[in-house]
Amino acid sequence: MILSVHLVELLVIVLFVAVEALLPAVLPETLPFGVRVPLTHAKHPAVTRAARRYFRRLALLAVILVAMDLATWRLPGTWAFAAEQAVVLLAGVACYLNYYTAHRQIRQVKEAEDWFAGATQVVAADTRPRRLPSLWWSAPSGIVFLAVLVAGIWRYPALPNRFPVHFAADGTPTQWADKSISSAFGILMPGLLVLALCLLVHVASRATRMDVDPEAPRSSLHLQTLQRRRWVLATWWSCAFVQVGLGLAALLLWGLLGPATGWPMWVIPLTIVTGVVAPWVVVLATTARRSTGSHAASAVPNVPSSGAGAPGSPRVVHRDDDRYWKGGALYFNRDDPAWMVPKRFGVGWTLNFAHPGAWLLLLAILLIASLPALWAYLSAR
Amino acid sequence: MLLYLQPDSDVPLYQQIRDQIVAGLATGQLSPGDPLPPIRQLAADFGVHFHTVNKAYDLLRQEGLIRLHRRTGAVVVCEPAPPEFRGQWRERARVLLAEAFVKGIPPEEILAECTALLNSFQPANAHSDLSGGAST
Repeated sequence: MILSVHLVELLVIVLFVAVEALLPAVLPETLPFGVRVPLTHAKHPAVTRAARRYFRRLALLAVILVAMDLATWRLPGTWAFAAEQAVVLLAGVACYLNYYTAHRQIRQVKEAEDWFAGATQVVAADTRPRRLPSLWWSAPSGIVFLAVLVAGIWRYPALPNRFPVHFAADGTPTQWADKSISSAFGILMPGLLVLALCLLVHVASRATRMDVDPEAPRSSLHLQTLQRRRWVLATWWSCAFVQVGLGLAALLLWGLLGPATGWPMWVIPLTIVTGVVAPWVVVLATTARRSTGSHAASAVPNVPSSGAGAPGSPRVVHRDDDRYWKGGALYFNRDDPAWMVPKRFGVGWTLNFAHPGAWLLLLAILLIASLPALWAYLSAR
Repeated sequence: MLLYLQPDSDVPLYQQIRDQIVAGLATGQLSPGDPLPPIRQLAADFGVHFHTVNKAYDLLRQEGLIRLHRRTGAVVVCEPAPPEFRGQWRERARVLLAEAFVKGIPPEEILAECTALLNSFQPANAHSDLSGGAST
């Protein structure tokens, strides 16, 4: 097994753990580990206890997972690849279970002590118009794709009538195809699909909910507007990286990068994996919550309108919506027309799975996401 | 302006939306010419059905408080009150005051509450049309 692929897999595991470690600092105080709590209980002992245990378990997990991954390097050939994929999968499952344990702990205490007693639960929305990210952000990705397409069109006449489409680890061709439009340009399909997907995400982001926290309306709105712009930007950055990676693969196929050994074999998967992950890590790092001082300062609610929050009436809190989040991670709400909602514990959006279309979209995303991995696997044989 | 919905309240959701927009206009949080979000966007923000917001906007349109545009949402307006408005409103005020009176709240207190509420309202530019000359 090539060392480069090992390193990529190890990087994925490390990133999983790093993201899980940074997330609690990014999410609002009123949403510890995916549990909706009133601001008064954000620093409740049960919450801080759950957080402490979460980080302890995460540290332990990190050590175990890295050790397991390094152990797979000593296995022979194809066993190593399958074992390493299993470790990556295990990392994902373990991180989720770690989160869910903390989630359950807080939720049990919240329900036992009835933290929402005495408060009026509301859903809030802002009537002011929103500035939406411009579609021009798609330009770099589009330009890369078009450049690769033009290179392909320029190269097509010079392609030999039979050219290799799959390579062994040492670069010798293992599979050949006859020259045709579909065999030469078929490799551009994943890139086009990724472009279409990112466009869909961009357009759909305009219709996602702005979840206003009644206990801190201004800051929650400001943070979410900022987050939305950054998430769309991160999506397009990822897309651009993926286009570069897939573009290099296409150039490799067309014989424009020389023999299929050496740098393309690890640069391509590295570019794609880095591209999919790095912009989101940057987003995560840059949207970490500052001190809670800023949160409290803007906790003065808007001038109360009829009923909710009027002086003398009970305090207004965000509606307890835990019941719509199955397993603390999957959003399922039939009454909600929104397709995309912000993740409960994570960066970016997730789908409202009460809409059947959401399942289809998820399937499509998984298929597209598995294409480069499939390519890397087949060319590493 | 921030709108709040209480999902557990007895008051229907569309009524809550409509009431808050009217109150917002009275307190100056909304002024004629201010935009309101498109129905779908507001429905998504609240997590409620499209028809709930549609009904609220429709009520407001019938009352001459907003004007609907197909794509860009709605705009707050302040169309002058029709002649029958005063009588209809008086009937509703009569029921409201009767509720407080019947429950034993002294008339002076009722008046004091009313004055306090009216004092919290701020006239917007074209407000005088709606109130028909009666000011604070």
